Amino acid sequence: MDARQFRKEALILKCIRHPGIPVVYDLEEDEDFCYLIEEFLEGDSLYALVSDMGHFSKAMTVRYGIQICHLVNILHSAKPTPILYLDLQPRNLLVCGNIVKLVDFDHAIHLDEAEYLTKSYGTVGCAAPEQYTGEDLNERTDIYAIGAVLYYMLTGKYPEKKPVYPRALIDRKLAKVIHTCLKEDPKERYDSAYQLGGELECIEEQMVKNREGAFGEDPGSSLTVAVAGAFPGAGATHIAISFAAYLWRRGISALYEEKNGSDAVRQMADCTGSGMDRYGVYRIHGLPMLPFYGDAAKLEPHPYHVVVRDCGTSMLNFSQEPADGYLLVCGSKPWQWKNTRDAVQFLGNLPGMAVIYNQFCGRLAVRLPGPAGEAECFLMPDSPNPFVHPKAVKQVYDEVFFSLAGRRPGGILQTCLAKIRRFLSRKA
Amino acid sequence: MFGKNKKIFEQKGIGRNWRTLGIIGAGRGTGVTHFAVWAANYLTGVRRGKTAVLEWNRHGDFMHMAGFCGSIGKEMPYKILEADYYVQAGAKELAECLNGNYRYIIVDYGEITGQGFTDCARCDLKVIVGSLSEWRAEAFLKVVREGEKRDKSWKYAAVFGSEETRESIEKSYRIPVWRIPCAKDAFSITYADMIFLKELLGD
Repeated sequence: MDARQFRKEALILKCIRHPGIPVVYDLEEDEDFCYLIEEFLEGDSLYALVSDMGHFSKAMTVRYGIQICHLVNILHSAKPTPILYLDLQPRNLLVCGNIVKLVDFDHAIHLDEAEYLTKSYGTVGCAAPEQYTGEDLNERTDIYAIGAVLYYMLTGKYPEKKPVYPRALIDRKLAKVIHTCLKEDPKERYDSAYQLGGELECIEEQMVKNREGAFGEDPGSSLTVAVAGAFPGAGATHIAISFAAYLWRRGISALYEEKNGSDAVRQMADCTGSGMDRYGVYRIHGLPMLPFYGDAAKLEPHPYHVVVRDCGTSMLNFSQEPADGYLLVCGSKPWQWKNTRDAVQFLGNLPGMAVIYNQFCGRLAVRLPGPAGEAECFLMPDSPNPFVHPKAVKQVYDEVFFSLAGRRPGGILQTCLAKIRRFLSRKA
Repeated sequence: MFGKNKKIFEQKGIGRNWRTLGIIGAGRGTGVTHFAVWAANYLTGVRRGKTAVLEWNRHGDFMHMAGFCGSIGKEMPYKILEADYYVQAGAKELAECLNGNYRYIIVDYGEITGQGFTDCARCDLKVIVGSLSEWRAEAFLKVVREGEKRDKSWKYAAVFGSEETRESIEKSYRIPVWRIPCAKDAFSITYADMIFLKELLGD
């Protein structure tokens, strides 16, 4: 990149102020090099997350898609001249916390410069057809790239000439939106990122109604779920990680928090070579995980909305933990019944408690010890990898989440139901 | 740099559960006790390893600290924020720690003396804390000059003094001199402290 281009990038960044776009502090030059001093961003690129965790869920794709549209719309609405980004691709989108940030403005130009461009750059798989043919570039060039990124998030692949939409991953409405973005003729694509964002918001609303989305999570509220095992080896850590990963995959800003002395997070971080951020959080296979720190550690409060707190096997600590919901992980094998029964009896009628019978095997579990009071029971099938959820496991977590979220006054589900009721009453 | 440190601390500890960290000062008032307490709080609070801190000098700082924290007259070693402090420790206390279930044993040797230095050399990782202030740098330089053949388990570190002096020592003697960040509270480990201590101590 030459110095002129470098200065141009700095000038473009300097005229935009948005939390999703890095702040430029300074531009320095010496005889050999130019230096752009930018805000330090901690996070993983969409590319790294998909490589690490596999493709995203529909809810997560829609949620991030809305944020990307918003960012691109900010650029396209820049005054006095709109800015075209022209290299939107998964490596240039960072997920920090649960917020998408756009980086690397190498190829960004002002709209009025587009017609004088002699060479066009882009990323294979995400670049619009007009970037290859040298035709005029405009806002719709970025719309194509948004479609390509949406497709990538959903399938883990870049779109081909005739993209295939796997039925299991995508619904018709979302496929139609992506299809419109990826039209070869720019005029057939959406007019603006604002319009595209609106379409995605409609899909998200529909998902809320169908109880399959991110539930329009209210950023002002937070939800803490305490998890404990009825006995060592019951699988509390496995379930807590798995449940946090499930929430994260649904597009919910979820964190696994270790509140026991197992040191599991640090051991996993050492194995995977993950480093911690300023909140003390490690990202392991894309999932934010907070190890157990002592009182001496002074870290910034984390920004996550839903916390899955792994309380180990101390029933006393578990029952005293301030949380919105409690998950007791029990064994379902006959030789684990006594421990399970003791734990359930000890906890009695802990409000908001649900019981998970882990590694449930129908043939062995002849008689399940019934929990006390009104605690709900869930039968969790065996799943070796806590970061990946087979269909049967996902179904159980769907039920667990709706049970927990619905139970809390003002909880995420209840907030959404209230919103839907208000909407319906307005319609009436 | 971190990779090498990690290797030293791990290799020295093969076959046993504990690691020893010796801290010794090139002169008086260089911040050895502050560093020992700070490191102990990092190892307990962040690395979650059971840690003992042994006062291997006659300054009496640990007794003053016990008085301040209301631990006088209580069972010894006394505990502050999960770390155990051994006042005026000797061979008996060290043996007790080695046979106990500690993961980290930090020994505060105070300022350099003949025997203290020899004892410190037996630790897995040794940190020589000096001051680079013009009126104190000579003591630090003397230690650096005498130890040109020391292996990488010896670390040189300083809180005070100019950056120019530090860089000049690094250049002249081809050794890294770590700049210890000025931590006002030895019982509080911030994110910046964690980054520094992870680099210095490894493991």
